[in-house]
Amino acid sequence: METGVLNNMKPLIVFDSVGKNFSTSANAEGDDRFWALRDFSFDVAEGEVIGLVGPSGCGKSTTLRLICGLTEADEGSVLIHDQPIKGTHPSVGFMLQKDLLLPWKTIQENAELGLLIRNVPKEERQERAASLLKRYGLGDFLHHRPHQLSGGMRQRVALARTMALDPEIILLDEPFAAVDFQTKLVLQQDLLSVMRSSGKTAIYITHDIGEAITLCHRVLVLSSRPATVKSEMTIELPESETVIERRNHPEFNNYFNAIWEQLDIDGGVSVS
Amino acid sequence: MALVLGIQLSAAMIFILIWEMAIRYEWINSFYFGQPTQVGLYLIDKLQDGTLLDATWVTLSESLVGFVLGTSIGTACGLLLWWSRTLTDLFYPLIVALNAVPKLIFAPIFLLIFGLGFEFKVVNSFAGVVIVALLSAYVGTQQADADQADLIRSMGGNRWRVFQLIVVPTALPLIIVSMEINIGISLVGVVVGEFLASNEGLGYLAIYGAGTFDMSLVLVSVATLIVLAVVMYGAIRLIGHWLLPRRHETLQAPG
Repeated sequence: METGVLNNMKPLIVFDSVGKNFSTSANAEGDDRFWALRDFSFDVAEGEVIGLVGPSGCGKSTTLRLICGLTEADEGSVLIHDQPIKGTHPSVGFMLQKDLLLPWKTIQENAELGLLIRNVPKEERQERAASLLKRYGLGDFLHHRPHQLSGGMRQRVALARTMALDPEIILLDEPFAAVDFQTKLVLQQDLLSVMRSSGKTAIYITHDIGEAITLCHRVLVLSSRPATVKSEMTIELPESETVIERRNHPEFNNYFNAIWEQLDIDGGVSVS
Repeated sequence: MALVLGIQLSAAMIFILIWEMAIRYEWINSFYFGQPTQVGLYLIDKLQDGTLLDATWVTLSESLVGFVLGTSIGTACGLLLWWSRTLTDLFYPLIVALNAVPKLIFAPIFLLIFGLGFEFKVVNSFAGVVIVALLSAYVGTQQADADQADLIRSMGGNRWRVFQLIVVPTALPLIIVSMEINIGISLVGVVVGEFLASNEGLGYLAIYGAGTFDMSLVLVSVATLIVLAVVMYGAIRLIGHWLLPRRHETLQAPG
Protein backbone atom coordinates (compact mmCIF):
# COMPACT_ATOMS: atom_id res chain seq x y z
CA MET A 1 0.00 0.00 0.00
CA GLU A 2 1.51 3.30 -1.04
CA THR A 3 1.34 6.50 0.93
CA GLY A 4 0.56 9.93 -0.39
CA VAL A 5 -1.73 11.14 -3.07
CA LEU A 6 -1.91 8.90 -6.08
CA ASN A 7 -1.88 11.58 -8.71
CA ASN A 8 -3.26 9.55 -11.54
CA MET A 9 -6.31 8.28 -9.72
CA LYS A 10 -9.48 10.25 -9.31
CA PRO A 11 -9.92 11.41 -5.74
CA LEU A 12 -12.54 9.65 -3.65
CA ILE A 13 -13.74 12.77 -1.87
CA VAL A 14 -13.73 16.26 -3.29
CA PHE A 15 -14.52 19.51 -1.55
CA ASP A 16 -14.90 22.23 -4.14
CA SER A 17 -15.09 25.83 -2.87
CA VAL A 18 -17.45 24.79 -0.15
CA GLY A 19 -19.15 27.37 2.01
CA LYS A 20 -21.34 26.69 4.99
CA ASN A 21 -23.02 29.21 7.18
CA PHE A 22 -25.23 29.00 10.19
CA SER A 23 -27.54 31.93 10.05
CA THR A 24 -29.39 32.98 13.14
CA SER A 25 -32.33 35.29 12.68
CA ALA A 26 -30.35 38.22 14.05
CA ASN A 27 -27.75 38.11 11.30
CA ALA A 28 -29.42 37.22 8.04
CA GLU A 29 -27.61 39.28 5.47
CA GLY A 30 -24.75 38.14 3.21
CA ASP A 31 -21.38 38.39 4.80
CA ASP A 32 -22.80 39.05 8.23
CA ARG A 33 -23.90 35.46 8.41
CA PHE A 34 -21.92 33.11 10.60
CA TRP A 35 -19.69 31.35 8.06
CA ALA A 36 -18.09 28.17 9.35
CA LEU A 37 -16.41 27.35 6.07
CA ARG A 38 -15.71 29.57 3.10
CA ASP A 39 -14.01 28.71 -0.14
CA PHE A 40 -12.93 25.42 1.31
CA SER A 41 -11.35 22.98 -1.14
CA PHE A 42 -9.42 19.77 -0.82
CA ASP A 43 -9.24 16.22 -2.18
CA VAL A 44 -8.87 12.86 -0.59
CA ALA A 45 -7.60 9.90 -2.56
CA GLU A 46 -8.73 6.37 -1.90
CA GLY A 47 -6.80 4.77 0.93
CA GLU A 48 -5.51 8.07 2.30
CA VAL A 49 -5.77 9.12 5.88
CA ILE A 50 -6.05 12.90 6.04
CA GLY A 51 -5.57 14.88 9.21
CA LEU A 52 -7.39 18.15 9.82
CA VAL A 53 -5.85 20.42 12.41
CA GLY A 54 -6.89 23.92 13.17
CA PRO A 55 -7.89 26.27 15.94
CA SER A 56 -10.99 25.49 17.99
CA GLY A 57 -14.30 26.25 16.40
CA CYS A 58 -12.88 26.72 12.93
CA GLY A 59 -15.34 24.44 11.20
CA LYS A 60 -13.61 21.07 11.25
CA SER A 61 -16.61 19.20 12.61
CA THR A 62 -18.79 20.87 10.01
CA THR A 63 -16.56 19.39 7.35
CA LEU A 64 -17.24 15.90 8.61
CA ARG A 65 -20.94 16.50 8.92
CA LEU A 66 -20.99 17.61 5.29
CA ILE A 67 -19.36 14.39 4.12
CA CYS A 68 -21.63 12.36 6.32
CA GLY A 69 -24.72 13.95 4.85
CA LEU A 70 -26.00 15.26 8.17
CA THR A 71 -25.91 18.79 6.81
CA GLU A 72 -25.64 20.47 3.41
CA ALA A 73 -23.25 22.97 1.90
CA ASP A 74 -24.54 26.45 1.16
CA GLU A 75 -21.91 27.09 -1.49
CA GLY A 76 -19.78 24.82 -3.62
CA SER A 77 -20.10 21.06 -3.69
CA VAL A 78 -18.99 17.96 -1.87
CA LEU A 79 -18.53 14.86 -3.99
CA ILE A 80 -17.94 11.24 -3.18
CA HIS A 81 -16.97 9.11 -6.20
CA ASP A 82 -17.88 12.16 -8.26
CA GLN A 83 -21.44 12.12 -7.00
CA PRO A 84 -22.85 14.93 -4.90
CA ILE A 85 -23.92 13.88 -1.44
CA LYS A 86 -27.60 13.18 -0.97
CA GLY A 87 -28.50 12.46 2.59
CA THR A 88 -26.50 9.96 4.58
CA HIS A 89 -24.18 7.87 2.51
CA PRO A 90 -24.23 4.15 3.26
CA SER A 91 -20.50 3.70 3.18
CA VAL A 92 -19.46 6.54 5.46
CA GLY A 93 -18.72 5.72 9.08
CA PHE A 94 -18.58 8.38 11.79
CA MET A 95 -16.77 8.30 15.09
CA LEU A 96 -17.03 11.14 17.60
CA GLN A 97 -15.38 12.11 20.84
CA LYS A 98 -18.49 10.91 22.61
CA ASP A 99 -18.65 7.18 22.20
CA LEU A 100 -22.45 7.42 21.99
CA LEU A 101 -22.88 3.92 23.29
CA LEU A 102 -26.49 3.35 24.27
CA PRO A 103 -26.48 2.67 28.01
CA TRP A 104 -29.47 0.35 27.84
CA LYS A 105 -27.84 -2.02 25.37
CA THR A 106 -25.04 -4.51 25.92
CA ILE A 107 -21.61 -4.03 24.37
CA GLN A 108 -22.37 -6.53 21.64
CA GLU A 109 -25.73 -4.93 20.89
CA ASN A 110 -24.05 -1.56 20.67
CA ALA A 111 -21.50 -2.83 18.18
CA GLU A 112 -24.34 -4.34 16.17
CA LEU A 113 -26.26 -1.09 16.03
CA GLY A 114 -25.36 -0.13 12.47
CA LEU A 115 -26.00 -3.66 11.26
CA LEU A 116 -29.38 -3.63 13.00
CA ILE A 117 -30.33 -0.46 11.21
CA ARG A 118 -29.33 -2.00 7.91
CA ASN A 119 -31.57 -4.99 8.67
CA VAL A 120 -28.76 -7.50 8.67
CA PRO A 121 -30.09 -10.86 9.95
CA LYS A 122 -29.54 -11.54 13.63
CA GLU A 123 -26.98 -14.32 13.44
CA GLU A 124 -24.79 -12.54 10.96
CA ARG A 125 -25.06 -9.36 12.98
CA GLN A 126 -23.99 -11.02 16.18
CA GLU A 127 -21.14 -12.83 14.52
CA ARG A 128 -19.69 -9.79 12.81
CA ALA A 129 -19.95 -7.65 15.91
CA ALA A 130 -18.50 -10.32 18.16
CA SER A 131 -15.53 -11.00 15.91
CA LEU A 132 -14.66 -7.30 15.70
CA LEU A 133 -14.97 -6.88 19.44
CA LYS A 134 -12.72 -9.86 20.02
CA ARG A 135 -10.17 -8.47 17.64
CA TYR A 136 -10.10 -5.24 19.66
CA GLY A 137 -9.59 -7.13 22.89
CA LEU A 138 -13.14 -6.89 24.19
CA GLY A 139 -14.12 -10.52 23.79
CA ASP A 140 -14.76 -10.92 27.52
CA PHE A 141 -17.11 -7.98 27.70
CA LEU A 142 -19.72 -8.80 25.08
CA HIS A 143 -22.58 -8.90 27.54
CA HIS A 144 -21.47 -6.10 29.79
CA ARG A 145 -23.04 -2.66 29.76
CA PRO A 146 -21.24 0.53 28.74
CA HIS A 147 -21.08 1.93 32.24
CA GLN A 148 -19.00 -1.06 33.29
CA LEU A 149 -16.24 -0.24 30.82
CA SER A 150 -13.52 2.40 30.94
CA GLY A 151 -13.45 5.31 28.50
CA GLY A 152 -10.80 3.72 26.35
CA MET A 153 -12.70 0.46 26.12
CA ARG A 154 -15.87 2.29 25.19
CA GLN A 155 -14.12 4.05 22.36
CA ARG A 156 -12.97 0.66 21.11
CA VAL A 157 -16.60 -0.45 21.06
CA ALA A 158 -17.44 2.68 19.11
CA LEU A 159 -14.68 1.79 16.66
CA ALA A 160 -16.10 -1.72 16.34
CA ARG A 161 -19.53 -0.28 15.70
CA THR A 162 -18.10 1.95 12.99
CA MET A 163 -16.09 -0.80 11.34
CA ALA A 164 -18.92 -3.33 11.51
CA LEU A 165 -20.60 -1.61 8.60
CA ASP A 166 -17.42 -1.96 6.56
CA PRO A 167 -17.53 1.68 5.47
CA GLU A 168 -15.42 2.96 2.62
CA ILE A 169 -14.76 6.24 4.34
CA ILE A 170 -14.27 6.75 8.05
CA LEU A 171 -14.70 10.14 9.65
CA LEU A 172 -13.17 10.62 13.06
CA ASP A 173 -13.83 13.73 15.11
CA GLU A 174 -11.24 13.83 17.89
CA PRO A 175 -12.17 10.29 18.89
CA PHE A 176 -9.53 9.99 21.60
CA ALA A 177 -9.61 13.50 23.02
CA ALA A 178 -11.50 12.43 26.12
CA VAL A 179 -9.20 9.54 26.94
CA ASP A 180 -6.08 9.72 29.13
CA PHE A 181 -2.80 10.09 27.30
CA GLN A 182 -1.47 6.59 27.91
CA THR A 183 -4.66 4.90 26.81
CA LYS A 184 -4.70 7.29 23.87
CA LEU A 185 -1.37 5.96 22.63
CA VAL A 186 -2.70 2.42 22.82
CA LEU A 187 -5.86 3.36 20.97
CA GLN A 188 -3.85 5.22 18.34
CA GLN A 189 -1.87 2.06 17.78
CA ASP A 190 -5.08 0.07 17.43
CA LEU A 191 -6.40 2.55 14.93
CA LEU A 192 -3.16 2.65 12.99
CA SER A 193 -3.17 -1.13 12.64
CA VAL A 194 -6.82 -1.17 11.61
CA MET A 195 -6.33 1.55 9.03
CA ARG A 196 -3.21 -0.02 7.59
CA SER A 197 -4.69 -3.47 7.31
CA SER A 198 -8.02 -2.35 5.90
CA GLY A 199 -6.71 0.31 3.54
CA LYS A 200 -9.73 2.48 4.20
CA THR A 201 -9.94 6.17 3.51
CA ALA A 202 -10.25 8.38 6.55
CA ILE A 203 -10.47 11.97 7.65
CA TYR A 204 -9.20 12.57 11.15
CA ILE A 205 -9.82 15.71 13.12
CA THR A 206 -7.57 16.40 16.05
CA HIS A 207 -6.01 19.11 18.12
CA ASP A 208 -3.11 16.84 18.92
CA ILE A 209 -0.52 17.61 16.28
CA GLY A 210 1.55 14.58 17.25
CA GLU A 211 -1.48 12.37 16.73
CA ALA A 212 -2.03 13.83 13.27
CA ILE A 213 1.54 13.16 12.29
CA THR A 214 1.58 9.57 13.55
CA LEU A 215 -1.73 8.54 12.03
CA CYS A 216 -2.06 10.46 8.78
CA HIS A 217 -0.60 10.41 5.30
CA ARG A 218 -1.30 14.09 4.82
CA VAL A 219 -2.12 16.85 7.28
CA LEU A 220 -4.17 19.89 6.32
CA VAL A 221 -3.87 22.95 8.48
CA LEU A 222 -7.02 25.02 8.58
CA SER A 223 -7.24 28.72 9.20
CA SER A 224 -9.48 30.13 11.89
CA ARG A 225 -13.14 30.66 11.12
CA PRO A 226 -14.35 30.87 8.36
CA ALA A 227 -12.04 28.00 7.60
CA THR A 228 -10.08 27.48 4.44
CA VAL A 229 -7.17 25.17 3.90
CA LYS A 230 -4.15 27.17 4.93
CA SER A 231 -1.50 24.66 4.07
CA GLU A 232 -0.96 21.00 3.63
CA MET A 233 1.86 18.67 4.49
CA THR A 234 2.58 15.20 3.26
CA ILE A 235 3.94 13.02 6.02
CA GLU A 236 6.66 10.76 4.81
CA LEU A 237 7.43 8.42 7.64
CA PRO A 238 8.03 4.74 7.01
CA GLU A 239 4.79 2.86 6.59
CA SER A 240 4.85 0.01 8.96
CA GLU A 241 6.20 1.52 12.14
CA THR A 242 4.29 1.65 15.38
CA VAL A 243 2.99 4.85 16.90
CA ILE A 244 5.90 5.06 19.33
CA GLU A 245 8.44 4.44 16.59
CA ARG A 246 6.90 7.12 14.44
CA ARG A 247 7.08 9.57 17.33
CA ASN A 248 10.74 8.82 17.76
CA HIS A 249 11.58 9.27 14.10
CA PRO A 250 13.99 12.18 13.47
CA GLU A 251 11.61 13.87 11.04
CA PHE A 252 8.75 13.89 13.59
CA ASN A 253 9.81 17.12 15.26
CA ASN A 254 10.28 18.90 11.97
CA TYR A 255 6.75 18.09 10.96
CA PHE A 256 5.53 19.10 14.40
CA ASN A 257 7.22 22.48 14.27
CA ALA A 258 6.12 23.13 10.72
CA ILE A 259 2.50 22.47 11.57
CA TRP A 260 2.64 24.40 14.83
CA GLU A 261 3.95 27.41 13.00
CA GLN A 262 1.11 27.32 10.55
CA LEU A 263 -1.65 27.31 13.13
CA ASP A 264 -3.39 30.58 14.01
CA ILE A 265 -3.68 30.04 17.71
CA ASP A 266 -5.40 32.95 19.46
CA GLY A 267 -4.10 34.33 22.70
CA GLY A 268 -1.16 32.94 24.58
CA VAL A 269 1.65 34.87 26.16
CA SER A 270 4.06 36.40 23.68
CA VAL A 271 7.67 35.80 24.52
CA SER A 272 9.78 38.66 23.34
CA MET B 1 -31.68 -4.92 56.71
CA ALA B 2 -33.11 -7.08 59.47
CA LEU B 3 -32.33 -4.35 61.98
CA VAL B 4 -34.30 -1.80 59.97
CA LEU B 5 -37.28 -4.12 59.76
CA GLY B 6 -37.02 -4.83 63.46
CA ILE B 7 -37.10 -1.14 64.31
CA GLN B 8 -40.05 -0.55 61.99
CA LEU B 9 -42.11 -3.39 63.48
CA SER B 10 -41.30 -2.44 67.05
CA ALA B 11 -42.25 1.15 66.44
CA ALA B 12 -45.58 0.08 64.96
CA MET B 13 -46.35 -2.19 67.88
CA ILE B 14 -45.41 0.45 70.45
CA PHE B 15 -47.62 2.94 68.67
CA ILE B 16 -50.61 0.61 68.76
CA LEU B 17 -49.90 -0.24 72.38
CA ILE B 18 -49.85 3.41 73.41
CA TRP B 19 -53.01 4.03 71.43
CA GLU B 20 -54.82 1.14 73.15
CA MET B 21 -53.65 2.36 76.55
CA ALA B 22 -54.72 5.90 75.74
CA ILE B 23 -58.23 4.70 75.07
CA ARG B 24 -58.44 2.41 78.12
CA TYR B 25 -57.15 5.06 80.48
CA GLU B 26 -59.35 7.62 78.75
CA TRP B 27 -56.59 9.97 77.83
CA ILE B 28 -58.34 10.30 74.49
CA ASN B 29 -61.92 9.73 73.52
CA SER B 30 -62.72 6.49 71.73
CA PHE B 31 -65.54 8.21 69.88
CA TYR B 32 -63.05 10.20 67.84
CA PHE B 33 -60.10 7.86 67.72
CA GLY B 34 -61.36 4.31 67.80
CA GLN B 35 -59.80 1.57 69.85
CA PRO B 36 -57.27 -0.84 68.34
CA THR B 37 -58.76 -3.97 69.88
CA GLN B 38 -62.25 -3.01 68.79
CA VAL B 39 -61.00 -2.18 65.33
CA GLY B 40 -59.25 -5.53 65.17
CA LEU B 41 -62.43 -7.44 66.03
CA TYR B 42 -64.40 -5.33 63.57
CA LEU B 43 -61.87 -6.09 60.87
CA ILE B 44 -62.17 -9.82 61.37
CA ASP B 45 -65.93 -9.54 61.33
CA LYS B 46 -66.06 -7.55 58.12
CA LEU B 47 -63.62 -9.88 56.45
CA GLN B 48 -65.73 -12.88 57.35
CA ASP B 49 -68.99 -11.47 56.09
CA GLY B 50 -67.39 -10.42 52.82
CA THR B 51 -68.10 -6.72 53.06
CA LEU B 52 -64.46 -5.77 52.99
CA LEU B 53 -63.49 -8.04 50.16
CA ASP B 54 -66.40 -6.92 47.98
CA ALA B 55 -65.55 -3.29 48.60
CA THR B 56 -61.88 -3.91 47.90
CA TRP B 57 -62.68 -5.62 44.65
CA VAL B 58 -64.84 -2.70 43.52
CA THR B 59 -62.21 -0.11 44.29
CA LEU B 60 -59.45 -2.22 42.81
CA SER B 61 -61.22 -2.87 39.52
CA GLU B 62 -62.24 0.77 39.09
CA SER B 63 -58.74 2.06 39.68
CA LEU B 64 -57.08 -0.61 37.54
CA VAL B 65 -59.27 0.15 34.56
CA GLY B 66 -58.71 3.88 34.98
CA PHE B 67 -54.99 3.34 35.41
CA VAL B 68 -54.53 1.05 32.42
CA LEU B 69 -56.62 3.21 30.10
CA GLY B 70 -55.01 6.40 31.30
CA THR B 71 -51.46 5.09 31.11
CA SER B 72 -51.79 3.52 27.69
CA ILE B 73 -53.61 6.42 26.03
CA GLY B 74 -51.56 9.08 27.82
CA THR B 75 -48.20 7.46 27.06
CA ALA B 76 -49.13 6.85 23.44
CA CYS B 77 -50.18 10.48 22.97
CA GLY B 78 -47.09 11.77 24.73
CA LEU B 79 -44.83 9.72 22.48
CA LEU B 80 -46.86 10.78 19.46
CA LEU B 81 -46.11 14.42 20.19
CA TRP B 82 -42.46 13.77 19.42
CA TRP B 83 -43.36 13.10 15.81
CA SER B 84 -44.98 16.43 15.16
CA ARG B 85 -43.67 19.80 16.25
CA THR B 86 -46.88 21.34 14.94
CA LEU B 87 -49.13 19.12 16.99
CA THR B 88 -47.03 19.84 20.04
CA ASP B 89 -47.19 23.60 19.57
CA LEU B 90 -50.94 23.38 19.04
CA PHE B 91 -51.76 21.26 22.05
CA TYR B 92 -49.12 22.14 24.58
CA PRO B 93 -50.92 25.07 26.26
CA LEU B 94 -54.00 22.91 26.68
CA ILE B 95 -51.99 20.10 28.19
CA VAL B 96 -50.22 22.40 30.63
CA ALA B 97 -53.53 23.94 31.70
CA LEU B 98 -55.14 20.55 32.19
CA ASN B 99 -52.16 19.41 34.20
CA ALA B 100 -52.30 22.36 36.53
CA VAL B 101 -55.96 22.12 37.34
CA PRO B 102 -57.05 19.43 39.79
CA LYS B 103 -58.85 16.93 37.57
CA LEU B 104 -61.40 16.31 40.28
CA ILE B 105 -62.95 19.66 39.46
CA PHE B 106 -64.46 17.86 36.51
CA ALA B 107 -66.14 15.26 38.71
CA PRO B 108 -69.55 17.00 38.72
CA ILE B 109 -69.42 17.18 34.92
CA PHE B 110 -68.53 13.51 34.67
CA LEU B 111 -71.31 12.74 37.10
CA LEU B 112 -73.83 14.39 34.85
CA ILE B 113 -72.50 12.66 31.75
CA PHE B 114 -71.91 9.18 33.14
CA GLY B 115 -74.35 9.02 35.98
CA LEU B 116 -73.76 6.97 39.09
CA GLY B 117 -71.81 3.80 38.69
CA PHE B 118 -68.61 2.13 37.61
CA GLU B 119 -67.93 4.35 34.57
CA PHE B 120 -68.08 7.56 36.59
CA LYS B 121 -65.34 6.44 38.91
CA VAL B 122 -63.21 5.06 36.11
CA VAL B 123 -63.44 8.37 34.26
CA ASN B 124 -62.44 10.28 37.38
CA SER B 125 -59.41 8.08 37.72
CA PHE B 126 -58.63 8.20 34.01
CA ALA B 127 -58.70 11.97 33.93
CA GLY B 128 -56.00 12.26 36.56
CA VAL B 129 -53.80 9.49 35.16
CA VAL B 130 -53.88 10.40 31.48
CA ILE B 131 -52.42 13.87 31.82
CA VAL B 132 -49.53 12.79 34.01
CA ALA B 133 -48.78 9.88 31.69
CA LEU B 134 -48.88 12.12 28.63
CA LEU B 135 -46.63 14.78 30.08
CA SER B 136 -44.15 12.26 31.45
CA ALA B 137 -43.88 10.47 28.13
CA TYR B 138 -43.47 13.74 26.27
CA VAL B 139 -40.84 15.11 28.64
CA GLY B 140 -39.10 11.75 28.41
CA THR B 141 -38.83 12.06 24.65
CA GLN B 142 -37.35 15.52 25.00
CA GLN B 143 -34.45 14.10 26.96
CA ALA B 144 -33.27 12.10 23.96
CA ASP B 145 -29.67 12.84 23.07
CA ALA B 146 -29.39 14.67 19.73
CA ASP B 147 -25.96 13.16 19.10
CA GLN B 148 -27.36 9.67 19.50
CA ALA B 149 -30.08 10.55 17.02
CA ASP B 150 -27.40 11.81 14.61
CA LEU B 151 -25.52 8.56 15.06
CA ILE B 152 -28.57 6.59 13.97
CA ARG B 153 -29.09 8.86 10.99
CA SER B 154 -25.43 8.67 10.02
CA MET B 155 -25.77 4.89 9.82
CA GLY B 156 -28.73 5.19 7.49
CA GLY B 157 -31.59 5.12 9.99
CA ASN B 158 -34.85 6.95 9.31
CA ARG B 159 -37.09 8.77 11.82
CA TRP B 160 -38.82 5.60 12.83
CA ARG B 161 -35.46 4.03 13.72
CA VAL B 162 -34.50 7.06 15.77
CA PHE B 163 -37.85 6.80 17.56
CA GLN B 164 -37.51 3.08 18.18
CA LEU B 165 -33.84 2.95 19.14
CA ILE B 166 -33.28 6.25 20.92
CA VAL B 167 -36.44 8.15 21.80
CA VAL B 168 -38.50 5.38 23.38
CA PRO B 169 -35.69 3.88 25.47
CA THR B 170 -34.77 7.35 26.69
CA ALA B 171 -38.37 8.08 27.69
CA LEU B 172 -38.90 4.72 29.34
CA PRO B 173 -37.47 5.47 32.81
CA LEU B 174 -39.65 8.54 33.12
CA ILE B 175 -42.68 6.64 31.90
CA ILE B 176 -42.11 4.02 34.57
CA VAL B 177 -41.75 6.62 37.30
CA SER B 178 -44.97 8.23 36.12
CA MET B 179 -46.70 4.86 36.37
CA GLU B 180 -45.63 4.59 39.99
CA ILE B 181 -47.05 8.04 40.67
CA ASN B 182 -50.20 7.29 38.74
CA ILE B 183 -51.19 4.40 40.98
CA GLY B 184 -51.79 6.95 43.70
CA ILE B 185 -53.53 9.36 41.36
CA SER B 186 -55.77 6.66 40.02
CA LEU B 187 -56.84 5.70 43.54
CA VAL B 188 -57.53 9.31 44.45
CA GLY B 189 -59.86 9.66 41.49
CA VAL B 190 -61.68 6.46 42.37
CA VAL B 191 -62.01 7.14 46.09
CA VAL B 192 -63.25 10.69 45.62
CA GLY B 193 -65.73 9.38 43.09
CA GLU B 194 -66.90 6.90 45.70
CA PHE B 195 -67.22 9.70 48.25
CA LEU B 196 -69.30 11.79 45.92
CA ALA B 197 -71.67 9.37 44.36
CA SER B 198 -71.46 5.70 45.07
CA ASN B 199 -72.78 2.91 47.25
CA GLU B 200 -69.87 0.57 46.76
CA GLY B 201 -66.17 0.44 47.38
CA LEU B 202 -63.69 1.27 50.12
CA GLY B 203 -64.12 5.00 49.70
CA TYR B 204 -67.84 4.58 50.09
CA LEU B 205 -67.37 2.53 53.25
CA ALA B 206 -65.09 5.17 54.72
CA ILE B 207 -67.48 8.02 54.07
CA TYR B 208 -70.43 5.96 55.25
CA GLY B 209 -68.61 5.14 58.45
CA ALA B 210 -67.78 8.80 58.97
CA GLY B 211 -71.39 9.73 58.36
CA THR B 212 -72.68 7.19 60.88
CA PHE B 213 -69.95 7.95 63.43
CA ASP B 214 -68.68 4.43 63.06
CA MET B 215 -64.97 5.08 63.59
CA SER B 216 -64.07 1.43 63.38
CA LEU B 217 -65.53 1.16 59.90
CA VAL B 218 -63.60 4.24 58.83
CA LEU B 219 -60.35 2.92 60.18
CA VAL B 220 -60.86 -0.52 58.69
CA SER B 221 -61.62 0.86 55.23
CA VAL B 222 -58.72 3.28 55.37
CA ALA B 223 -56.32 0.57 56.49
CA THR B 224 -57.52 -1.74 53.72
CA LEU B 225 -57.12 1.05 51.21
CA ILE B 226 -53.56 1.59 52.35
CA VAL B 227 -52.79 -2.09 51.95
CA LEU B 228 -54.40 -2.07 48.50
CA ALA B 229 -52.37 0.94 47.43
CA VAL B 230 -49.12 -0.58 48.61
CA VAL B 231 -49.82 -3.87 46.85
CA MET B 232 -50.68 -2.10 43.61
CA TYR B 233 -47.57 0.04 43.86
CA GLY B 234 -45.49 -3.06 44.48
CA ALA B 235 -46.93 -4.68 41.37
CA ILE B 236 -46.08 -1.64 39.28
CA ARG B 237 -42.53 -1.62 40.62
CA LEU B 238 -42.15 -5.24 39.59
CA ILE B 239 -43.42 -4.40 36.12
CA GLY B 240 -41.01 -1.48 36.04
CA HIS B 241 -38.09 -3.72 36.93
CA TRP B 242 -39.12 -6.16 34.25
CA LEU B 243 -39.35 -3.44 31.60
CA LEU B 244 -36.13 -1.78 32.60
CA PRO B 245 -33.61 -3.78 34.55
CA ARG B 246 -31.97 -0.90 36.35
CA ARG B 247 -28.30 -1.37 36.22
CA HIS B 248 -27.37 2.22 36.61
CA GLU B 249 -25.60 3.41 39.67
CA THR B 250 -27.56 5.57 42.06
CA LEU B 251 -26.30 8.86 43.38
CA GLN B 252 -27.78 8.52 46.83
CA ALA B 253 -25.56 9.55 49.73
CA PRO B 254 -24.60 6.46 51.74
CA GLY B 255 -25.30 6.09 55.49
